[in-house]
Order: sequence, then C-alpha cells, then structure tokens
Amino acid sequence: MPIDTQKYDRQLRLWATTGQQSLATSHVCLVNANTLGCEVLKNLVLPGIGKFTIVDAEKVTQDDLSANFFLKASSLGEYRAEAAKNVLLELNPDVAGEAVTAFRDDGAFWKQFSLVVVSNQFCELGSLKERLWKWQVPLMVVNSVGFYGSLRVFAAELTAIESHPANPFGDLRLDKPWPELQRYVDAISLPALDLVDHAHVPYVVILIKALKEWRKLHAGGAPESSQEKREFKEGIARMARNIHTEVNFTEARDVSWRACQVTETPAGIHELMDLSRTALHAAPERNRIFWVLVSALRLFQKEAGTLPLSGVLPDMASDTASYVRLQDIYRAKARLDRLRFKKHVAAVLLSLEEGGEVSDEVAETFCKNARTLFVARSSNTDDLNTELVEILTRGESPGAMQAEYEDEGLANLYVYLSLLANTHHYNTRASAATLPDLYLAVREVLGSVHIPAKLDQTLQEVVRAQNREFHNTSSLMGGMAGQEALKVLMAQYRVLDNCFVWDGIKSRSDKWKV
Amino acid sequence: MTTVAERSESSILPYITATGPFSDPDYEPGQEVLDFLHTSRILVIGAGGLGCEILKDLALSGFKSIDVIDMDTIDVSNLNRQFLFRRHDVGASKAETAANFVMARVAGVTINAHCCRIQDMTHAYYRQFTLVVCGLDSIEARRWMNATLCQIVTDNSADPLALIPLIDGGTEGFKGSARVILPGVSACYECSLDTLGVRTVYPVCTIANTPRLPEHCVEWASVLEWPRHWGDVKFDADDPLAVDWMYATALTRAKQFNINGVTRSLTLGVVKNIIPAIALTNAVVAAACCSEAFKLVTGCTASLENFMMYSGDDSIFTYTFKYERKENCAVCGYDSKTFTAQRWWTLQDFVDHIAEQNEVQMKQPSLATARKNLYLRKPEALEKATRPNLSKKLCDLVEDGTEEVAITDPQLPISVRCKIVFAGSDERAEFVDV
Repeated sequence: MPIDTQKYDRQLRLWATTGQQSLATSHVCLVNANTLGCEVLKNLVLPGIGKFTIVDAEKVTQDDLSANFFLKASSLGEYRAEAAKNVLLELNPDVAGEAVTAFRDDGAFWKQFSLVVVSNQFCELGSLKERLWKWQVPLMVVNSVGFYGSLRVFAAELTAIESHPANPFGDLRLDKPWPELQRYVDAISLPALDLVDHAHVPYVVILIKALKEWRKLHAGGAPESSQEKREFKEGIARMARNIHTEVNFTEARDVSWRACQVTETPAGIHELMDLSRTALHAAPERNRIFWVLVSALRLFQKEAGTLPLSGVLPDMASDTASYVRLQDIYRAKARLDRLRFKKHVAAVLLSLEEGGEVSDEVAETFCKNARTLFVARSSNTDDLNTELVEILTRGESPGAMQAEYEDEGLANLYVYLSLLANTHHYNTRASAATLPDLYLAVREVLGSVHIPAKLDQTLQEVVRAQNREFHNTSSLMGGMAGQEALKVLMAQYRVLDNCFVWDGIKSRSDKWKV
Repeated sequence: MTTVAERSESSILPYITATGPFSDPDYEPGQEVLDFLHTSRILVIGAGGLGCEILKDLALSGFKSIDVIDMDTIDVSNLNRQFLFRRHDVGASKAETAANFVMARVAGVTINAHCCRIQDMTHAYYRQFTLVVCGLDSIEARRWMNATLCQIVTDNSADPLALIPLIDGGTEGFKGSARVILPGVSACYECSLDTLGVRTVYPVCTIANTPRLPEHCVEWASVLEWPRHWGDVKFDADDPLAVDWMYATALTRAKQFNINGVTRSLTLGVVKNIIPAIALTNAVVAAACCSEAFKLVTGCTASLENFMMYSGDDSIFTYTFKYERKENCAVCGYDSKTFTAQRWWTLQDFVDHIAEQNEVQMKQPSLATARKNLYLRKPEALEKATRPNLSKKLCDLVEDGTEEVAITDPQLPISVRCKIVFAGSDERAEFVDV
C-alpha cells in the first residue's frame, strides 16, 4: 500500500518513508485495554502501524469508563478488547485491529507480533515474559498507578542504524584528506585570489591548508595541547585578509577544533565490529541484516583502515561553485567507499551460504550512519536485580538524571519499588492493597534486604491511589511507551535501555539499566 | 436526545477524598474540592495537536466547564495526531469539531468553542476563568496571552481572583516542555524569552548570490522571485498551484547552480516553516500540563515549580527546574533593559538589530521616548512623519545611557523599555560585502 504522504507529512519529516514502511508492516499486541493500554495504542494507530491485537478477558466497568477516553459509555458490560478495538480503529482507516477475549498460550499466536505491550497488572506476566524472550519477541511492560508510572523494555537485543544523534559527528577527514581532496585544496592558491574569491573559500579548504602548514613546522604532528590548538586557531585568523569581514575565515577559526580532531573509528563501533563475529550467527532474525552490515563494516575497516566516508558536507560560507565542487568530491569518495562496502556485504552473505546483496539505499543509509550505530542488549533478569538492591542498601543516588538532586534520584527508585510492590501484590492477591500488604510485597520482591524508612511515603501514596489509573498519568505514560514502541518497530532512534520511572507529584523522572 | 449517564469519577476521587503523604498540610479533601473542580472554568487556547489531548485530559480529570479558542480549520496533515478529527472533518473549525467530539464522548462536560483569534477577546472575557491552558505553536500568541494575564493581575491588584494561572505546553518533534506560570508571582513567559532559539534565517546575500543548499533555492523563490512576479499577491501555501509555482521556480534555480535536493515536500517545509509533529509528544506534554491543572485547582498536592523539559529521541529524558523572575522583564518586571549600540548606527540599524534580539523578538517594532516619537509604524501619518528619523544617527536622537526608549509591536500588548549605551567609533568601518 502506498504511503499517504499528506496525512503523515509531519512525521515523515522525522523518520522518512523507510521508518513509515516499517511501521506499516508491524503488528503490535496489547495485553489489557485499560486506560494506559488504550493510550499506548492510540499513539501507535495514529502514526500508522499495520495492525494491532488486543488481548483482554475483562468487561467494561464504571471504573474503566472513569478514565478511558477510548471506551464509550454505551459499552458498559461489553468485552473491553472489543469495545476498545472498535473505537481505536476509528482513528486511522489504514490500520487493522483484532480483539482476543481469552488468554492464549500457544507459540504460534505470540510469535506473530513485532512487539507485545503489557499494560499494568497481568498475572501471567512471568510465564509470558519467559516465552517471549525465548521467541525473540520484544516486550514492554508499562505501569500507571495514581501519579506514578514506570516502563520496562525486555528485549535481548535492539538495534538502530538511523539513531538520529542530536549532534551528528561531521565526517570531514580534515586530518586525512584523500588524494582527490588534497589535490583540489592544493590547486587553490590563496594569495592569487581576488578580494571576493578570497572571502568565499570554504573553511574545509582553509583548514586543510592550515593543517598542512602546521605539520611542516611541527615535524608532521597536528595541534594537540590546548596551547597548540590556540596557536593553530590564531594562525587561521592571520590567514584572513580581514578577519572582521571575511565570514569564511571567521567560520574556519570558529571550527578550527575540527581540524585538530583525529579521524578514527569510535570505540563503541569497534566493540560492535568485534561483537559481529558471534552476533552474525546468534542474533534474532529481525537484527540479522544489521549484523551482516556490521560484519561487512569490519571487513571494510580492516582493508581501508577507516570507516566508509559519510559523504555529508555541512553548509559553510562559500560561493556556489566551490561548495558544489567540494560536495562532489565528498560524494564521489562516499560512492566509491559504498561500492567497496557492498562488495564486503556480498562476501559476508556468501560466507553465510546465502549470496545476494543489499540495495544501494540500505548501503548508503548504513555508511552515512556507521559512526552512530545503536545497539542495546539486556538480560532477562527479574526486576529484583542485585545492582539496584545494592544501591538501595548503600542509600546513594543511582540515577543518571539530575545528579545535584541526590535525594531525588533515590526518591525515584522508591517510586519504582513501590510500583513493583503494588504490581506484585495485585498479581498474587485479589484484595485491595493496604500499607502492611505493600510492605509485605516489598519484602517478597526484595528478599532479606533492609527496607529504607523513606519508602513509607511513596508506599502510602500508592495505597491512596487504590490501584486506580489517573487519566493524566496514563496518558503521559502512554505517550512515552508509545514513543519507545515506535522506536522498536522502526529500528530508528535510541530506545530506552531499559527501565524508566515517572513521579507525577514532583514532575521528575529517572532511568536505569536493570 | 437521550440523556447519557455521566461517567464515574472513581479515577480522581482518591485525591479528593483523602490527603496524601506529599499533600500540603493545609489540604482539606472533601466535597468542596470536588465542587470547585466541577465549577471551575478552564480556558484552553489551541485545539490542535496539544489542544485535542488537553481537552480529552481535562474532561477525564473532573473539569466540566471548558472554553476553547482556535481560529484554525482542519487540514489533512493534522490527522496523524489530532485524534478528535476525521477525514470528513477537513475544512471544519478545529475548536468546534474538537468540542463537539469530547462532549459526545464524555457526558456532563460543557465545552464552548470559539473559532476566532485570542486577540478578539476582551479582558472581561479572560477574567471569567480559573485557569488557562495553552497548547499553541506560536511564540507570538503565547506572549500575547501571557502579557494579557499579567496585565489583568496588575489592573486588579486588590482582587485575588484576578490571578489566573497559565499552564503552557509546547512541542516540536520528539521534544517538548510544560510550565506553570503564576502571573505576577512566578517567572512569566516573557522572563525566559531569551532562552528560546530563534528561527534560522538565511542571509539575503546568500540567497541572492551564493546558494548552496536546496533551502536557499526555495528562499530565493519565495523571498525574491514571488514578489517580483506577483507583486502584492500574498503567497498562499494552501493553494496547490501557488506551491507548484514556488517549487518549479526553486527547482530551476537549483538546476542552474547544480544543487540537489529541491522537492515539493522540502519547498512546502521551508515556505510554511513546517515543524515536525507527532502524536506521542503531544500526549506527554498535554498530560503533564493537565496533571498540573488538576493539582492547582484541587490543591491535592504541590504543583510544578515551574518548568519541565522533555526530550524523547535519545531514550526518555525529562529535566525539571525553576525559572526565576526577571527584574527587567518587559511584562512583569519594573526595570528597563540595556542595549549597546554602535555610535555610527542609524535608527534603522538599531531597529534591525533590536528586532532580532532574543529578549525582544519583534517583527515590526515602533520606538518612542518620553520626549518624542522615534519611529512609529502606525497610523500612516505618524509613520510618514517619523520615517526620516530612520536614516538619522541614533546617538543624535537618544541620550547615552539615561533616556528610556519604549519599543512596541502592533502584534503584542508589550512595551519593552530600554536604555541605550553607545560604543565604538562614529564612522562605519570599511566592509567587504560577502
């Protein structure tokens, strides 16, 4: 089916047709059509996933209607799965939906999904988690109780080629110009240029020239110490005829640090290339092509000594002809690298006794993003993991966020524990939770660990919520969980790795790797 | 019409019937709180991506009396996130369609829709509300609303009901923010205006002489060629023929300079200044805003102090901090700002400079001192009379460092008061035109 570029215009500008295509072929399973679950699906149906299936044996109650916009009041007493499915399907005619009103435990049923989302309590969670892990189906468990929310991603391995880094590294190779680039730079004689042309030489040319001169005077070395880098920068200002009026030289001076950067393969990418030796044969099916490409990257790097050139030239002060010429030089080199890379891909595929090749588009996207590939690998450990328990016992802030709020970090962990205790209680007992119940649940979750006194407040807050969803928390968590689900389905952007908690009372959040 | 039973309020009752460990010690839960929640009048500005979510969230948080203002009509490109609209609604009023949808889905909620500009409403209208929630995509409209609510506080300093909290949400792609403003008490929108990024503007000389990016070619078509060909005819981005012309013109320019990448979609993106928008960021930000609305009205727990930023492309990230009031805020401050001007600047140079400043951001500034009008855009007669000043030297018009200049813009109910300190030489330096 062709993509509706008008309807999806505002999101295609983020993840392009490749991302949209992945969405359109995905099938998401939601367990529990409660408020939170429906909000997650709303955020997936609107941008256009292919299909969803709701698994829910419950019938619509007054409590459901209190907070769930995607249940009509007239559906009171009907199956939640059916009622929610019908309302959600109205949001986007491109999407198909199905309702399942009895729990299924056959593999064929669960293996059809690209992702399973469990919303709030589900007493079969433990066994479902084990099985989805075995079948390599990613699972997200999302919770919303009162003002508190949490999200946990369970997947052995998630990858993204297009990770959309906030500050993409430039790949200009100023310290290692290839022969064509060096020849182009050498052919330009700055003193011979007239006033106008001199003020339009792109900074790439200026910096390569400056670095070459520097190396002549410094036994072939590049500026390393901060003193040297300062001198190098000042040298560039002196190359200008008038630094106050020549914008290109001002730019060159401002980005002189780029020339001092060594073109090298990032450590994280080295790790991935090493990992590819085993991952190529062991990775989940959905990631197989990713590891074929990383294996080819390893072969490329081994042969060429560098990664393939990205071929992207940022805008810079320049006349049109010089800029376009320079862009051609970068693109031509990227094209050559890409062809070479594709040969390695073919070799890897051949070694797998498959043969074939990847398309030019895939190779181009991969080479452009080769410096910022994203991989998250986690284990299937239970929630009560030793690291967090140890942190609790030490009483130190474990959070990555807002380090200045030491106590806040710990407070966020209390929120997470309180939610865990609540889930544990309702998954194992039918009665409404009291404070002593939750203390008992905490002990059962944490084992023999000392329970910090401050946990009392967040537990009380959870008791007050009476295991009910507050619409705004469910809507917020539904947004965040929907977002992470989209990343998993598109294999784009950097997905949560792997545990997140939201405190809607203090409007703060935190995340950890469990 | 059959009466549909109202939905149970069990999801909000825990906070209204009981106090919690993080509640204010003075909080008294009970029927009065519920009654106040039901009778509070909430104004929602914007019925777009954020607005649809906000209306849904408020309706399910116990608010029963809501007004919504939006002058826009529904476009196909809204349907990927504005979930209260369907394809057959395209062309209809956003405010009315959204209001009707929510009222039909959640019985007992009344939503008055106004398909108009916020500037069309009077102070008396705005004074009716307990709280205002903004889901806008325009900085100008936010500034207008903020300034209006701050003005209402100033004009009615003896009346505590004149303090109408403003909750403001904003999104762009995977990023967003939610903030709580207590006009006259906490930092207002204008206090932090300088933290906003300014839209990328391509220098005219690049567009005219040295285009390098496809965007430069589109700007050439829209900024230079459109007025040359069509004179005073305003470009209408919703007219496919006009867009085709723009695209073709940009493409011709691009081919002439060997620049790749001009597409119809890119052309539209540049001329309409399209900001990417997705459902889920709106959901997160709107929910954070409405959670604060619920907290402020019920008092069930402390509210946000006072800004939360959200970013969702690299994992999930939130950061909460407090903006402080600025003494020289043009809206809620009492002090004037200070700007530095070069001695050789004409008034025109200063006007160009000031319009771009992050803490001013005015498209059509008019300037006056207590002694005289420096340059006024309106009315026409005064514009004509003050126009010669634009080519005069600024330092001959304004006292150095002492005289207060008021800068205003017809679009904004704001007067930026500033003093000008002069620096540099009397003569303009030699300048190579790049």
